[in-house]
Amino acid sequence: MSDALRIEHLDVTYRTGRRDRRVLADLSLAIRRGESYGLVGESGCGKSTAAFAAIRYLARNGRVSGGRILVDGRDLMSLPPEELRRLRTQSVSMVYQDPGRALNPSLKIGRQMAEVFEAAEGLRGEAALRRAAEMLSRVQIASPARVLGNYPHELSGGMQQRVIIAMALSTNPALLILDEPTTGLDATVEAEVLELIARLHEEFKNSILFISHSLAVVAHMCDRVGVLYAGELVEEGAAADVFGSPRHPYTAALLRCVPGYGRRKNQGRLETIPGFLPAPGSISGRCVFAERCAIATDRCRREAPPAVIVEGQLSRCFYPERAQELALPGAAASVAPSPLAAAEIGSRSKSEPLLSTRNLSKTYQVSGKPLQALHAVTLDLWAGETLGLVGESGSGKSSLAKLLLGLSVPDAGSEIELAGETLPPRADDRKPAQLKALQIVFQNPGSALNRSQTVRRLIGRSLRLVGLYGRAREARLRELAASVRLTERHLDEKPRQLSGGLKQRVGIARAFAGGPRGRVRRAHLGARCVGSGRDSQPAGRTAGRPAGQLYLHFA
Amino acid sequence: MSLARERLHAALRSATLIVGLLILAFWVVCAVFGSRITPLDGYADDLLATLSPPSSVHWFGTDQLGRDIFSRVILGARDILIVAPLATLLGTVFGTALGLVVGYLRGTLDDVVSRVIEALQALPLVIVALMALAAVGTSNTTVVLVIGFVFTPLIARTVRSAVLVESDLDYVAAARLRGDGAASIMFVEILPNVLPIAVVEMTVRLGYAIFFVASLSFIGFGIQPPSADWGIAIAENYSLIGSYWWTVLFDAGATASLVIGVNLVTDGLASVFET
Repeated sequence: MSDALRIEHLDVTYRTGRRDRRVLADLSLAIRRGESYGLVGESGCGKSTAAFAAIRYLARNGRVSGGRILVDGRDLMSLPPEELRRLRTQSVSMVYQDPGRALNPSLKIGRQMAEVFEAAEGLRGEAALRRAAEMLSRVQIASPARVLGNYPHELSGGMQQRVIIAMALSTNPALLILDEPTTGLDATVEAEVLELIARLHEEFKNSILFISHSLAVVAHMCDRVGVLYAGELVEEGAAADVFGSPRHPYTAALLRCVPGYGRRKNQGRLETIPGFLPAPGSISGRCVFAERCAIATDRCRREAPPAVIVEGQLSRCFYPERAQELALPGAAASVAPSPLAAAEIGSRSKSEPLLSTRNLSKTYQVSGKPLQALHAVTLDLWAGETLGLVGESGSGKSSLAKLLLGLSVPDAGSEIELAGETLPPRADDRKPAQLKALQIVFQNPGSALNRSQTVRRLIGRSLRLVGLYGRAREARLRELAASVRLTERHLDEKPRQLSGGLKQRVGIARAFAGGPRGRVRRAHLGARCVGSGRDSQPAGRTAGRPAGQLYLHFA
Repeated sequence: MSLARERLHAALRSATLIVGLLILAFWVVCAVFGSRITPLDGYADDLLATLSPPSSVHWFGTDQLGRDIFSRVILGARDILIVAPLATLLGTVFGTALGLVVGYLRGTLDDVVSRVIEALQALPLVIVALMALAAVGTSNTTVVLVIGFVFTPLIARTVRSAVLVESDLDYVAAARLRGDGAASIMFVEILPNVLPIAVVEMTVRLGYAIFFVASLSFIGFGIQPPSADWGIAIAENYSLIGSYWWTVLFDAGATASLVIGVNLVTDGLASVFET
């Protein structure tokens, strides 16, 4: 029997401006029937492009410039449009990253789901709705009838993703493509959705192409794994083998970026991969990973390594057997959370807390009714501490951050003190020194940076707060940029030219520009990829080290 | 590649934009060179050749005073191409400033201004402008001022809604947290990001402004004789349209082509800014 998806020597190029950029080079992979295949890699490495190519649905400026794509044994590139359309409705389904955007906001769920059955099975009206309700109960939605009458915005992110999955599975496709299906979801909801996908996989026996930046998720969900780097498949094999004994230095490096439970901030920094992800297609005639590889030799920089098979694992490296040397020794060790060091507790009793809140409450008025977002939060934080606040979305983390920063005004009776001084509730009323003392690294770096300003300007404007001008400002700016590992070149770029991880580093540099004492960090590392998600953290720590600061970490 | 260069490439590929710009450029050349490129003197009466149909001498015929219509159509581009863009620019500058202020500060000010804008929009703009011009007297300057003020609330509303979206982005919070004042946040942080919207809105309004000025001229409250303005020409001759169609048709066509040219540019720009 033919494979559910077979990609042979696929090249995909994008045309930007007048140049062609090859984003996928010589990609070959096969997904057997009933198998789940995971494709991992940093953002920008071509994962999503591979997914869209698999249903021949590339952006207008993209095209398949070589190779073959076979779905169910049929060559996608030679199918007439009508057949291609039928294949897309019946044999392949795709679940996208952002469920909110994949649903039409102005149509009820029932209408949108019925449409799928009308197109695929020719059902009409009531019959289509009945099938939709049936599908919803299969994705464990308790009251299908109610959900069918809802608009997308009336559902939570997890529910929306279930609806999408139900729609994707409704035609019982041979191949289901999941493009980062849980990226935008809370950890608890993510676990539920993953569990649902795993259960449905058992039940429907579809083949799955699972695209993710999360190694943990892929290891949990997939039978086989392919690791994509700069448009090339650098390693492929059974999930257990690839993660257990990596045969490519990149995979090994990725594994070292994953923080272990219980490792404390002062027990060594998180490993990062030095250097930057090269632009896809910018490297040819040598190994794509050579520049960032710890074991690269001259040979790696002169010729491109061919794909070799080592004990069932494909690796595009000259030294597949040496990759394991790089895997972190004892990564899984020290699992138990270590108790707070005695010294840290000792230092507490001696001094005043840096930041404290008394009875901090916030009530919002939602269509005339009061909604309490935060109730009598009392916290004491000492200099040098990092406080992690954990909670699902909607639990009040953002409200607390906004109150501390003075971006929203708390209820009467609430009090925030900084170094023994009561802070005015509104940021606009705070003194420069107080503003300087509390800074934030925002969750979404895309929204946090003004898109019309260069990096130099973004960081520079914050340096005015500390009264730095002219040459002194430029020097401090370079210092800050270097401490978050931004290069000279980045300073004159605008946010849209930067990747998510780089944007976050700019946000961190900016938050530290005034040398704050307390820093609020609404981390959402999941929103970025492993490589960059991790390295923003030690970067922040490097920048923060000298000042003896306090961190509030929201996750 | 920089955003500016990418947009330039998109602009050069947009047929809509290019055609619109060519039409616009044609009329701008007419407006700038005026009497230096007309084949005949557009202001000279010729009482022996009144209302003569298009011919090899008078390509578009002559009017009631025997003046050459082809030359007058070329001359007529000048006043409208001064008055309409200036009025639009005035409305855009004031409208953008107003939209920024009420959109960022919100609160009572926003409520009051927004209601006033809505009330103004309920009135027919031509009537409002007519009353204002009747009160202050008609001249090119007053026409510019009156249309500018009539357009201000319209542009303010568009800019305000864009500012509302921007204000919620974290970079605005970041600016507040480093102690930037309201004026600096509005004009340094937010303005560059809403400028493309204001520019597109401005070109939309320019199309309307041309029509607006022509209408006012037609009823005698816009550009004043002896200008060869198209609206005046249409007003002087529309009673003759049954027998002497050329006295009206070419001026009307000129007005229409200018509005179409501006609208094509608008569509082209909007799609360029979307990229």
